[in-house]
Amino acid sequence: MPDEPAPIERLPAGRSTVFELAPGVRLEPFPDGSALLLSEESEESLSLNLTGALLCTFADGTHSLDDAHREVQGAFQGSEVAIQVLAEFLLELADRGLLLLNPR
Amino acid sequence: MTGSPRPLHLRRILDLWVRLPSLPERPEVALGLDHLLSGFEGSHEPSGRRVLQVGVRERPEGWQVGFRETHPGAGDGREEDPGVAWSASFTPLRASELEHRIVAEALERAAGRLFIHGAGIVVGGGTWVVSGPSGSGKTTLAMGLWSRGLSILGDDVCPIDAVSLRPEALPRALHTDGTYPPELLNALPAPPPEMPEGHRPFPGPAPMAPPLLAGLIVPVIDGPEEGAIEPLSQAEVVHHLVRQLIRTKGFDFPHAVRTMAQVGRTMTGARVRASTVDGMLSRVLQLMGRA
Repeated sequence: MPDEPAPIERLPAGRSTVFELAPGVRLEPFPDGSALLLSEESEESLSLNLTGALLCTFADGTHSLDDAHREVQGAFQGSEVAIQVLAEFLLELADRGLLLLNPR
Repeated sequence: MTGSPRPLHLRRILDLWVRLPSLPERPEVALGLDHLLSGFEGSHEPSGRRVLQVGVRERPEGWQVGFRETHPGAGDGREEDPGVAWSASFTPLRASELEHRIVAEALERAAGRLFIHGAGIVVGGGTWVVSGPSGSGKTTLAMGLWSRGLSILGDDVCPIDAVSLRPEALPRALHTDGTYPPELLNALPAPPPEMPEGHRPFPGPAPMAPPLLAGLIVPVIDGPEEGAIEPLSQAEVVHHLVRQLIRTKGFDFPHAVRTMAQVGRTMTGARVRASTVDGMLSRVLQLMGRA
C-alpha cells in the first residue's frame, strides 16, 4: 500500500497554496496570543494555540503557505517551525470547513 | 403540620417576581418548594413590573405546571400574556420537580443574560466559574470552597449580564443526591424538616454585586494525574464557556460568542485533575491564590 503523500503535497498548489477563512468564519484573537476560529453558520468554535492563531492571521487569500511559514518562523526565532506541520493544520481546518485553500 | 412557617407568595428570580402556587391540598409540597427557593429574595408583594404566575393542576394524565406572565402597574396597556402555557404532565407532584420547572421558565424569560452551566465562586476581587459536565464535581467543589470561607453564587448555573458582563447569583438549593463527603455535607446549613430529600438550603447569602469573571476551573475528579494543573489559554477558556452555555429560547450563537469573548479577555483558566475531593480543593485553592 503506497504511503500517503506528505501534507504539503496534498495542498492544491503545494507551498504556493493561498488560504482564506471560509465565508461566515472569523478569527477572534485574545491578549495571550491564542485565538478562536468561529463559524457562525455551523455554530462551531475551535481554539487555536499561539502558532495556529498566528498562522490564521495570514488567512486573507493573498498569503501563501510559504509566506506564512516565513512569517511564523520569524516570530518563533530560535525554534524550528516545520512547514509540513503548518500544511497539515491548514488541511485540517479546510476539512472542518473553516478555511478555503486555493492555488495562487 | 404545626409550627411551620407560612410559605412566601413571591420569590424574585433574576428580574422576575415569581408568584408561587399556594397548593392548599398539598401544603407539604408548597412548603418544600418554599425551602428550595429560600435563597432567592422573598416577599408577599411584588415590587417589580414583571410577575410570573405559576399554576398547578391535576389532569388524568398527571400534574401540569402552567405559567403566565403579567405586568401589574406597567401603565402601558399591557395586562398579561394571552394565556397560560401548560407544561407536559408529570407525576407524582414533587417540590423538586416544581422548582426545576419554575427556575427553567424564569431563565427562559430572563432578558439580556447568558447562562453558563457551572458554579460561580467569588474569590477576592474576581468571580471564578467551576464548569464541567454533570457529575464532574461542580457541587462538591462549590461546597468545599464555601466551607473554606468563599461566597458562592450558585452551584449549577451562573448568569452573566450580557451588557455589564457581570455575573449574578442564582441561589438555588444545592442538589446533594449524589455521594458527597460527610464533612462537606455537615458543614452546610442543616436542612429543615420539610426540605425535599437530596437537597440542602443554599449556603448564603449570595453576594449582591459579584465582581467580573476572573477565572475558570474545569475539574476532573478521578483523573489519572493526581493534582495536575493544566493551564488553559484564553481561547480555550472562551471555547469551554461557549460550549457550556445553556441554550434558552432565542439563543443567539454569534451574540453569545461575542459576549463570552469579551468576558474571556481578562480570564485565566485551568483544568485540574485529582482523585480525591481534598486533593482537588487544595489544588484549586492554590490556583486561586487562597492556599
